[in-house]
Amino acid sequence: MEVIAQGAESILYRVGDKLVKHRVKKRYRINDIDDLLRKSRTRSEAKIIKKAGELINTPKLLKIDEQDNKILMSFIDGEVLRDVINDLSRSELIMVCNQIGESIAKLHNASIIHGDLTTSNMILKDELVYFIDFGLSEVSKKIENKAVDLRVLKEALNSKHYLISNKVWKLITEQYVRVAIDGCAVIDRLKSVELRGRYKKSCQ
Amino acid sequence: MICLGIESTAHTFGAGICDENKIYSNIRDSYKPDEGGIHPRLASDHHAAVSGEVVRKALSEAGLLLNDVDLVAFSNAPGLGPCLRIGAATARTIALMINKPLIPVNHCIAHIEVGRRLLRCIDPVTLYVSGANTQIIAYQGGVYRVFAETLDMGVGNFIDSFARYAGIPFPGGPFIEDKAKQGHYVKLPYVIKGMDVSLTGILTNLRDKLNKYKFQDLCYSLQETVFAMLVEVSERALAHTQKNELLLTGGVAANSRLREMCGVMCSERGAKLFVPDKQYCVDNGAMIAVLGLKMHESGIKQPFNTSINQKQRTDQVIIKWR
Repeated sequence: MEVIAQGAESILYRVGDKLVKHRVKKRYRINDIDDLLRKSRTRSEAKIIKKAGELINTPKLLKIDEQDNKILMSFIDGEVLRDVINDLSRSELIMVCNQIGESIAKLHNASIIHGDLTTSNMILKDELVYFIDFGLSEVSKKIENKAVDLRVLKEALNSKHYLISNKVWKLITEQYVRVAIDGCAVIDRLKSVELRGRYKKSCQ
Repeated sequence: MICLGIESTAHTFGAGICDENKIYSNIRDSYKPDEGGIHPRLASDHHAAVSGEVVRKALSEAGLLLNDVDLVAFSNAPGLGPCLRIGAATARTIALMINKPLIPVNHCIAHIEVGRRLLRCIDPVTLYVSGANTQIIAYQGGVYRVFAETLDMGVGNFIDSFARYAGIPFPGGPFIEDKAKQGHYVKLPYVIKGMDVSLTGILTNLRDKLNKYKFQDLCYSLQETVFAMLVEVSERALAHTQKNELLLTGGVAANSRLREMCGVMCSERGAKLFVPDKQYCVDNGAMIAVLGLKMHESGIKQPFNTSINQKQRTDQVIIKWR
């Protein structure tokens, strides 16, 4: 058993070709809130990984342990996109962005909102982009929620990959609009979501 | 080099004096409304009335005369327009009187820089929680990037608004903190969207619960829920940026439960928590002086400019001194 990551809310262990995601107790918050959050997030994550796995590249759900707030899934032995995206060649970057746009669109078409779309939550393996960490995901048909989902990604790109964020964002959204059922409406809504943000340039 | 800093972004008018080695004084005078929240015009009337006295006190506590000042800094953004204008006018008047350079600074960044200087933290993730502002900020690529923030209201205003619904005068924070000590948990919405938090829905929920639950239980649940949200996104920013220092600042940093929760989170992940002394967490002039001096040292030369910017974002400021 090897600890491969300590995220903000969980510890990830690798056991052979399997991965255990253990939502650990957070002592800074009271038990009432901690139990509720860990239980509901573990349950919802497992459910959504299962559904998402039928649509896009994700780890396969193997087992859920509701007592201990653990999820057992297949281990994707690739590289975190955050660490490699800056070094991709132009053609690789286009291929990766197309996959990201298409995968988000497929999730949204199935009413799955990922909730934490960042390059830390995407794994590149054998030229395939796997989406991981459905810990903040929810099921929703709302255009608004889909737009907010994309905004999280845009902000993450701007803050972590500011040198290439414009290009990456353009490639992802172009593919997204091609595949998503209500893609144009979502992109339109995104503009108004951004205007709503605090102190944005566009509202001065 | 002696720098005089003037702060007037919201309800506090402050003046502070520092040089490269020491902070000599930090005087504040805050506007307190008789009822309701901060009325910008009334707050600015207050600032205009106290500005002379606050600056005089700052000088006398530092044992200095106006002519000893080498640089005048003022907060020109972000904040309430009428209030910002009083600070700008005060700073301009003094700079012209003594014929010294004037430097406008960003209020939010001053909170970070005074913390870094006083506590010697190197590269922190900052949880900045005040009335109007709730941001999680980290330095990256030449700017202070906002990794997470409130999508609607600041956490201080959120707490004060809830207090006002319950008939408690401004500021309600300390009263609610005290009441919370005897409270028990009542379920409230827990609202994190991506990295950001949203508070208005929780406020409405609390208002609906006001006469149906014990007040102390609502105070307790409010603190436990909202602070857990803030600590959770702070932890995620630490994990995402791979930094290991957390700087907690802003007026709400005075809350001991929030400090405790940040402390527990940091110790569990091997990070270190820094919280400035209360007088440097709340709005104050010394932090403006500290940042003004730092910017001046870095060679930033500004034309004599006293324009204000109510809505400047933290990440719009180019950082030349790091």
